[in-house]
Amino acid sequence: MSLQVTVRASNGATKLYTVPDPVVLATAEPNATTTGAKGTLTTYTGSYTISGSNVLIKDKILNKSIRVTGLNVTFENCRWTASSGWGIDADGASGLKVRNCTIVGSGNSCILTGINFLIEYCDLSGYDNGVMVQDSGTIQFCYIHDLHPGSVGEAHVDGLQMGGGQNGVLIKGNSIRSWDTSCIIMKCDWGSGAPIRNVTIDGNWLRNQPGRSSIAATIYAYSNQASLSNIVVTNNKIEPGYTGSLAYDTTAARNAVTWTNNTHVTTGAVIPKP
Amino acid sequence: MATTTFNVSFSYDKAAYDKGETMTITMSGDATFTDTVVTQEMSGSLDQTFVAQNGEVQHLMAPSVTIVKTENVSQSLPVVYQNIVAADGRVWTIKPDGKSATAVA
Repeated sequence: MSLQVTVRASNGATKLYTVPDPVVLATAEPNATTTGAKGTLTTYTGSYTISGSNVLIKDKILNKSIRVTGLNVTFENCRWTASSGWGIDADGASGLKVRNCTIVGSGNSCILTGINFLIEYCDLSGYDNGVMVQDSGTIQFCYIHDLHPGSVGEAHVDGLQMGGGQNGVLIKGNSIRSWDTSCIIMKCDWGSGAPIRNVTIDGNWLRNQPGRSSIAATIYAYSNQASLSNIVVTNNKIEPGYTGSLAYDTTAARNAVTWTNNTHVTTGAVIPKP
Repeated sequence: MATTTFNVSFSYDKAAYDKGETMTITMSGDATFTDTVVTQEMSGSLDQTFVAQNGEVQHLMAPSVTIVKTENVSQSLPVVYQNIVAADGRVWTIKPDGKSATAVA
């Protein structure tokens, strides 16, 4: 993510610059109080397929999965209780924004993002995965927890999942509590050889879900069918899984990860790059 | 050919911000306008005087010729923010001087 800055000279000439986003810190670990929908909500009565552009849905209760195909669709302060597939299915859509929403349910993931998305201050729970990341976008200041309430034998639980083809993802200031598999998994499984590039994981709290089996590894960086590049993992507070805080399948995948200033969530001890 | 080359950098007023804090991004630098100007001028006719040994004087007028002058012009230009769009939907407000902008973290 970045700022697109247009500069104009006094003779009228212009130039477009791309400037890195400012660093915004979460002052405290996100939780149920700081995230999700609040206040008075009314039942949503519109279509559960949003094909229009620049649509805003605000202060609503939704009772099933909603399909988004339009450009720049925004959900603010909404609550879902969906029970199949996805809470929000924005497969292929661009510009999805989900702010201060609560999504509880069961199925694949709370949100399938589409591209150029923003998810912030959301309380996500219940599905197998919190967010299925499709391409570029930002997930920040969310509380992702209590995933997959079903039996252990069926579980393959990831807080955030990237399966290949992602380029430009910022994961910042979230609290992710997961179990069985990972808090964040990057594994090039999708398509034929789609790489994962330019992912920043900054200032998150990455933990095991209390009362559940430990995650295998906090973060997975698996090239599998393709490659990883420029994966930055920094300033995170980590509770390592039973195999550690970072799992990788090849030396190249490990080398793609820049690992700085990550500390144990309980002891504060610096965790060296695994 | 005239060109305008930008030499601009951007800086935030802090390395990191807490949520809700006001963030300021400031621009510095300028743009340089360059052009090549070609001018022509006539030299004017030249009066040449010849004096023979016997003292006789004769004037010959050489014709005027065209002098072509090529000059590189460079001028520094002030720059301002025209627009800022944040991918995360955050609204940036450009200050009246055009040199800085603010947003809420």
